Amino acid sequence: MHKALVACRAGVGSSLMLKIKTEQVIKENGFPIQVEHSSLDAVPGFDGDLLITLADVAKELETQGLKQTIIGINNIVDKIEIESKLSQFLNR
Amino acid sequence: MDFIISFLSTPAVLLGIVAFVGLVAQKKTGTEILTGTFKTIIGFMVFSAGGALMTGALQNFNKLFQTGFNIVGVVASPEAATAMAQEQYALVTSCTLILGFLMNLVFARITPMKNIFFTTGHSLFFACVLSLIIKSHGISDIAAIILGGTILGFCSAALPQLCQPFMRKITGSDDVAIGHFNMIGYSLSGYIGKLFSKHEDKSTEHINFPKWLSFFRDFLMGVAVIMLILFYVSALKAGRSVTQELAGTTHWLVFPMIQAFTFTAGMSILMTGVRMFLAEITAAFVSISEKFIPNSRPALDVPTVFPYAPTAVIVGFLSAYAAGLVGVAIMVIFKFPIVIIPAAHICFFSGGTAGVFGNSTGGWRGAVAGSFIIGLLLAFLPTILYPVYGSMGLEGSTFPNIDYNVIGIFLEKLLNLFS
Repeated sequence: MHKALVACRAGVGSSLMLKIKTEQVIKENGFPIQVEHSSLDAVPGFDGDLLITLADVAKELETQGLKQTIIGINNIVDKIEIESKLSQFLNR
Repeated sequence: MDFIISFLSTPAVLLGIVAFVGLVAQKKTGTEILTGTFKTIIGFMVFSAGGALMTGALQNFNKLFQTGFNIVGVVASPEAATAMAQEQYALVTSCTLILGFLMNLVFARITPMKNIFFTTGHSLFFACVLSLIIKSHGISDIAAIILGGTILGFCSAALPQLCQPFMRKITGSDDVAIGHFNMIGYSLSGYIGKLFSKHEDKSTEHINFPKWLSFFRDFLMGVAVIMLILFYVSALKAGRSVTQELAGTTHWLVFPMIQAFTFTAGMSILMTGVRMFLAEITAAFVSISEKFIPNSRPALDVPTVFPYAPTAVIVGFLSAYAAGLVGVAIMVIFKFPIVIIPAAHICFFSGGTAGVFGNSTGGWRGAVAGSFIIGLLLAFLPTILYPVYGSMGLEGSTFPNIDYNVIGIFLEKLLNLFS
């Protein structure tokens, strides 16, 4: 079972929708991923192995040398994009 | 009976019930229902606690600023204003919010405006604005909820439509709308950008910005820096004795720093609370709209468009904040009864989005011009309604957002005709 954190800057608007969509994708595909939701402030203390966020935030996080895999989503309501990126992560 | 009224007029409980109904309707398990309901209630308490911290720090700021400069100045932060309003008109505000959701679904169903507004935090602020204006005319609670909820629902479905031509251009698809109550401003910024359409290809994204500016991408940092500057300027101007009196046992030069960080901490707590108490309600809202309103379009918070032009966000923030400072100067020179001090996070999200819209039609010139005009609107529009909020006991903060004020001013004028 993987643990993922869905986060954005404020962690209120856009990432909440991203979390809802991600959960739908996980449920439909039966992916072994549990999802938590927060703002970027929760990233340093997060003990899971996956971060899911918006594409521009992902670029920033990649420069920080975090231990988690980072997935950046361009269109947060595009389930096909979310699904393909999650599949990629699971099939590493 | 008293028990029931008291129980239902606690907004935390009311929102807990909404979350509960939503979870049951989604056929979740018993534990999920319990957890979701409790988290919603706890989240609202966290939200109130953060609001109280912010309000306390703002009151100190206002005292220092007024003594120092001899003018009434308010930091236009809707979070603090909402927390104040929630203390007094909790029931009306919460019910307006819930009816607003339902009316949004109704309007999306029966009109061609298929936008479902998911930035529920913003809906809460708007519900406060509407409740305050309507209640200031002495209208009964039930009528206020029906009127406020209907207006909120209509704006939620209709206003994103204004931005859709630009959203299609920015995101390259029609699947997502913007849902953030400055939509009149964002579309205006897009049209202002068109004045520079010759330079549309000279995008902000070609500018190489100094690295340190990306510091402001973390909006809490922006808030902290600006509040530090505001507090120190006011404290130094107010002088030692006044500041020492407020500071109590703290040294008068340490006090402004503690207050600035307290304000920022309050905002962080408040955001955490909003995240907690809206998570379940938004999820329910999503599942209802997906079930009952086919081909509806989600209207989402502004960071949705940030990936398309990240530099335009910073350009827009700086330009809108500069406009806010110009606004302060104008208000001081022309002796406005009140001076609206721009809040960093508002300029970041609202100005930044205006930058993305202006950039999409007019390159960096459009981004600068569009967000500067938005900054001026954020500064000057609140001065019109401030007396109304003041009469309702809201002191020291106000709602800067453009749609709140444009719709609010119309509503205020309309109600004045009848009363």
